[in-house]
Amino acid sequence: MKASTLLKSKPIRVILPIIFWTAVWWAAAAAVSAELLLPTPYAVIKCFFELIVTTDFWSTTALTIIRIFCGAALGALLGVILSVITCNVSLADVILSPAIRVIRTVPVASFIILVLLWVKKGFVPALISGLMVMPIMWESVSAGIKGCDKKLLEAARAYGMSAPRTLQYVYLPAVKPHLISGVCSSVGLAWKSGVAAEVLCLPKSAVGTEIYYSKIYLETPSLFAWTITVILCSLLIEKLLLVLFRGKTGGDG
Amino acid sequence: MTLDNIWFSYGQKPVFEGLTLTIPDTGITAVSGPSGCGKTTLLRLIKGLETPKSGTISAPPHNMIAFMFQEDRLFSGLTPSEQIKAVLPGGADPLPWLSAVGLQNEADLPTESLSGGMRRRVSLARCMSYAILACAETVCSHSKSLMLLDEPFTGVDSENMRAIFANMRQMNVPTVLSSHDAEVLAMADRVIKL
Repeated sequence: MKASTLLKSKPIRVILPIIFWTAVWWAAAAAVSAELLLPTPYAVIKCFFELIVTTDFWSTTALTIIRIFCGAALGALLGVILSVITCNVSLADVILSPAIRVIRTVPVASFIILVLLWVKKGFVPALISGLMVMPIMWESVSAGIKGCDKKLLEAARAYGMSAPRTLQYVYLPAVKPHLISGVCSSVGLAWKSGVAAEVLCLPKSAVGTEIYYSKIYLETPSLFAWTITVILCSLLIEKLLLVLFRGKTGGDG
Repeated sequence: MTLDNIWFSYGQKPVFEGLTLTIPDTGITAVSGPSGCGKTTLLRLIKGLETPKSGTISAPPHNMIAFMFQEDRLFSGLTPSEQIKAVLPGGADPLPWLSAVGLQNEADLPTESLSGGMRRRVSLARCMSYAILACAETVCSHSKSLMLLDEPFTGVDSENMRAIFANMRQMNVPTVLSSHDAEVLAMADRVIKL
């Protein structure tokens, strides 16, 4: 079998980079020879498996997921509501749009520190996740609303369709692909920024808090293990979204 | 219905300059003319989708007028049955209207899988059902509903067209349609040339 054909195989495309980069990591760890700076893959995997058999690991991970998910969900809802308002009320568009764009450009760390001054630390990760998601959802849904087929809207008016029916048959099909795209784009950012907020705020039972204390106590294998946890959760969430939205991204013409 | 001294233009381009027209409110009236002469604009003015710069239009109330656009303007992701149900009062049966246009077997297929001519017929069935069922909800004793059809038979074969025309006559709803097809003009009760 040709190498080019072999490289197109999905299992090879998953396994080969894992093997390659693990080998690079191992070689680097061997060269550095200091677990404090760069533990070996074996040390990290061993630590990871020691963690996952504890109930604390699962409760901590679950609470982080719940915290961040709730914040992201509220941020998404706010983004959708704001997009409906700014697309329909010119004054609101003039006043709110610049503010929403500013929120999107402010660095996450600045936001975390600012919000920490005003809000209890337990709420900060959720709030930060929501603030990261809101502008993305606002922009995506606004694009969907503005891109709505004007001819279909005229047809709905010509047929005397009520507002709920116009929403159901004209607006929702137009907005749905943008809504899904917005969710897929923002979920990764919500997750990373939420964990970053946990590292800075140190709420109880949080993955970010565990990462921080691993660093403080120089438990580098544990730091790596919790980081792997963050990566695995992110991959899992992305997969779940793909399954949820499979076949629902295309509009029908 | 009458249009009296209608002036209308799209921007700087005049369409009607003092148009005066009487259209009988019975039977099927065809409006013909070369492309760009204002057939579509005439129908849109009657329906109230455009407003003349000056002049008066005497026609049934806008909610008594069923309008079929030159494009199909079908809603995304719906079957032909659902296209019709979307514009009718709850509980209406779409099948008789799809049968009237020869699409009773395609009622539950995705609209996107239909040919251009079939999609046109779905649009026509939707308009016909609206003319009878939706307008009936607002009937008052001195108003009739009206059907305005803009190039309704584009892409439709002659056999289906003749059958649909016969069904339209049975509906007994005054109809004004635009067309440049000689066969359609021949089947109408009268032809107005713009």
